[in-house]
Amino acid sequence: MTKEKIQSGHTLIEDIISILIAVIMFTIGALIFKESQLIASGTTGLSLILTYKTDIGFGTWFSIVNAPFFILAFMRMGLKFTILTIFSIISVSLLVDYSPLVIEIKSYNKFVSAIVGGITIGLGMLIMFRHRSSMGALSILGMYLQDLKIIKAGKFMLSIDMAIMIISFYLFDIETVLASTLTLVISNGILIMNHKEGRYSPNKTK
Amino acid sequence: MKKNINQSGHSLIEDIFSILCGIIVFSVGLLIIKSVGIITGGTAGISLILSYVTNISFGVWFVIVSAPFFIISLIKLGIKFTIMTVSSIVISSLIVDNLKISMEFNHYGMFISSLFGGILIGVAILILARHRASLGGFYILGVYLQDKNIMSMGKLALISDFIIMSIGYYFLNFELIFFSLLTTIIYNVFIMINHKPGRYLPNEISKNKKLAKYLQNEINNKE
Repeated sequence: MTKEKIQSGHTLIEDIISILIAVIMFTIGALIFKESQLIASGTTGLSLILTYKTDIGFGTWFSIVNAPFFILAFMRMGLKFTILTIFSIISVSLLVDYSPLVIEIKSYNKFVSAIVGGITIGLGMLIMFRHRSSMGALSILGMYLQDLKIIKAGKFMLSIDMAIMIISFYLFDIETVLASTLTLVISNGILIMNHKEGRYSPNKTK
Repeated sequence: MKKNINQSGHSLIEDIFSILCGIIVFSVGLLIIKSVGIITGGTAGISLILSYVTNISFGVWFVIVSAPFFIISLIKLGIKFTIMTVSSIVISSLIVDNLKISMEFNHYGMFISSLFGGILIGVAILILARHRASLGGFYILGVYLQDKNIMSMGKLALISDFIIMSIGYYFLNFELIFFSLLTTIIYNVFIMINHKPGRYLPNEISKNKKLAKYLQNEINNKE
């Protein structure tokens, strides 16, 4: 192991490849959601709602919604984390907007899409976390607020998700809301079950 | 000691949930590939060729092709692993055959489809491997041959994939085979980068110094 290690305990190349893969997983999830008009958690969910209600594409909204948090990320989490996060968010935006040109996903059942999309988005987020990047600007804000001792990060994200769900309850039909809740449970389940700080950091063998 | 290692260090619920996730991701990856008409390596590849050539669906072929390996698995790798593998293969067959009722993947470009498919399959195999399950008959055969010191697992995978691709060449055109190779390379490289046994064990195990030492020796021996 002569290569320079960065924070996550992986080499830089490993981090970049893994984040690219996470971006693609996340994109597939977002495409499935978009196709069946489902809502996800956090800024993804917010951008999805905005996409359904306006004529502007998901990618644009996703970049806009996340933009204010870049500054926060830069102040709080350091340059490398910020660059990786910006890189992930922009590549997801571009991929989601342009991959319909090359791949088309059709969906006839919201609950099946909720399960498949929830798993792919959850896995994408998990890979990002493990390689010290992130998709959700809200998690950065949550960590910031926790440091300021205003509210706990988990509680903050939960209340934001609840708020998104309540808003969507007024905007969409009951089936969409139920299926979206299922998505939240699945993708957060994957994160809760798998993202235990330090549990899976690479063991330093030699 | 050995038992602990086989059980991957997760609780049963975690194993089942993760394996289910892995199966679903695998099925989606396979469907994306299937929509383009390309193949992959392993038993899934054989089943794909057979499903393109005959009228019988992929799921049925996947179970039939994998069946002989179940017996090796039962004899050599224990009942728990066999049950996990058999149920994984059956579930993924059912999903691949029936997901089209509620979801369809169409394509306009081979490159993106093979890229997406390769990555999804790679992630799925990685999840399954980390939870000590598998979808591939050749994986079982590989474990058996490696134990007998006949052939290493990587070699078997390489040779079998090569044979499957050559057979596929008789049925598919050059472009399709090219992208099949791309998919296979993507997921194999992905697994090569990520699947280092012992590196990512949950820390409960690595805290257990005796076991960690044993595992390290195992890894060193293999290298």
